[in-house]
Order: sequence, then C-alpha cells, then structure tokens
Amino acid sequence: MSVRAPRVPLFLRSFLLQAGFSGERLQGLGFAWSIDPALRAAYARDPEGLACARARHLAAFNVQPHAVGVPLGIASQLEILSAAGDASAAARAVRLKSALGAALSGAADAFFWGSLRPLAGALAACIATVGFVAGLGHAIPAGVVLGLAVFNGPALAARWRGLGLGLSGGESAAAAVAGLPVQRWIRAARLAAAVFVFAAAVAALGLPFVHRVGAAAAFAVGAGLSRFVGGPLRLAAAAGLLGLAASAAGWG
Amino acid sequence: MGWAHAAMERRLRLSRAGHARRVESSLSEGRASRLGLELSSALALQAAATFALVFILLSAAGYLGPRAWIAVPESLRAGARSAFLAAPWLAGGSLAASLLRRG
Repeated sequence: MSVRAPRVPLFLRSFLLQAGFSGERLQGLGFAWSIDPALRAAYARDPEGLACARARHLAAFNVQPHAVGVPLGIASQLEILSAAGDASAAARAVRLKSALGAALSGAADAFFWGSLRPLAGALAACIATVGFVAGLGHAIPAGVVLGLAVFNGPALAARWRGLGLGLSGGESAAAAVAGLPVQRWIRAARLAAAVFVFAAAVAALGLPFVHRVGAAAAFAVGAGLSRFVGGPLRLAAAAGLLGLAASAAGWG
Repeated sequence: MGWAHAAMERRLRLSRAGHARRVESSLSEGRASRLGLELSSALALQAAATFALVFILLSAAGYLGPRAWIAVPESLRAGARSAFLAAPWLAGGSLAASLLRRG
C-alpha cells in the first residue's frame, strides 16, 4: 500500500472541526472537511469512490475537539484500505469513528475542560499576582502567555500525536489510547490547579488595595459554598449578596 | 451577553443542517463537493452574527450603563462595588474547593 494520508493538511483542517456544527449532524461537516485530503489521496483515481467516501463522512459525528486526532487518523487509514480493496474497511471506519468519538469525549472533556483549563487559568493568575506583588515588570502578560502555553501545548500535542497514532496504527490505535493513564493526569492537574489558586490568593492578600479580612472571608465562603453554589451566575448572585452585606456593614 | 449569544448560537446551529444536505445533494448529482464553500459560509455567518451581537450589546451597555449607575441609590452602588471586589475571591475559593474535592 503506497498511498499515505497527508498528516499536516489533516492536522490543520482539524481546527475547523467545530466550524459547521449543527444540531442535526453535530461536527459532521467539519469532520468531512478535515478528512478530505486523506480521501482525495486514497481515491485519486476513483471519482465515484471519492464522492461516496465524502458522503459517508458527512454523517453525524461528535468528539471533544482536542481529541479529534485519533478518530481522524484511524478513519483516514481505513479509507485508504477501503480504496485499496478492503471491502469492509469503509464500514469499519464509520463505526469506529463514531464509537471512538463517544468514548474519547468523556475522558477528554474531564481532562481538557475540567482539569487542564483550570490549571492553566490558576497558573496564569498565580504568576500574574505573585509577579505583580513582587514588583516584576510584565507580570500580567507573562502570566497570560504562560497560561495559554500550559493549555495549548498539551492540546496541540494531543491533536498532532493522536493523528499520527491513528495514521500509523490504524484500528490498533484505539487500544493504545485506552491504555493512557488519563485519570492520573486529571488528578495531578486538579491538585496542581488547587495549589496555584491558593498561592495566587495568598499572594493577592499582599496587595495594598485588598481588604484582607473581607477577601479571606469571601474566599472561605466560596470554598464552603462550592458544593451548593456552582456556575458563574450563582456565584455572581452570591457575590451580590455578600456585597450588600458588606455595604450594610460599612465596608463598601 | 452570554445568554444572548447562546440563543443566537442555538438558532445558527439549527440553520446549519442545510449545509451538509447541500453538500450531499451536490455529491449525489456528480457535481463538485461544495464542502469548502459551505464551511466558509457557515464561518462567515457566525463571525458576522457574533460581531453584530457584541457590537449592539456593548453599544447598548455603554449608553445605558452610566445612566443606570447614576440612577440607583448609593447603598446599591456600594454593594455592587463590594460584590465586584468579592467576586474573584468567592470564585477562587469555590474553584479550589471543587478541584480538591473531585481530585
């Protein structure tokens, strides 16, 4: 088999996975756009096969966007096999893509949105606050850049390496991904994020314009209510109630 | 602004089902796939709608905000200032506790 899927175009196009998101096909349009270079390479001498393959990948599909590399790589590899004469490869591509999308989304959501994003935000806040309190120049931009790097480094690596794994390993890549210690990464990232939040809070208490007692009380109230008060709107409502109480106490 | 954008996004997602159907019909008729065209038009509409929404809401907030701020009683203004100062601390405490609990 001499046909190889072009990894760089697949990687670049995968950033538009969400672009055509619809309630009916979810990421189907974006996935069809992402896999198109592999389909064109596989079915270069078979226009009818290319049209059928393009239509196949317009079907409903959904995955956590940063985890798209593996299903995209596997589906590309199976389409190459299908174009080379493997009669069941196209059906396997559709089934495996769909199953992987659902299976990966839970773990990838918990890792990227539930752990890595809070870690990146907490690290950015910590660097910016500690640097600002210490009087270092450019502390806030440095914190922002570092936070973005902490999130996007692993996100880009997961997309690129997942794609490579799918392209080189084909169907066996699914088993390789299942063996990754994602739960351990999630626990470590959450613990590190909590430590950075505490460090940022302690550093911010040193700022001259911060009312230390009020700030520490708000932090403690936030921690105590975290089990019951979830989401930014309810936190904003809690902040409003605290604000009214502080105003009544003459702190405003 | 988040609520308004979410409502707009829901409408856009409903309207986007037509893109995939148009690509399918062009493929079944043996014409060019239109994938790029349909995706570009979806992106352009999203960008235009988001720009329009943000522009309108920020303009409205810029016009109405200062007038509403002056109109409310001083005790409410002081409470809002305290709430603004307390919000990051509440959120920080809530975030740290939830991260430790789930970890």
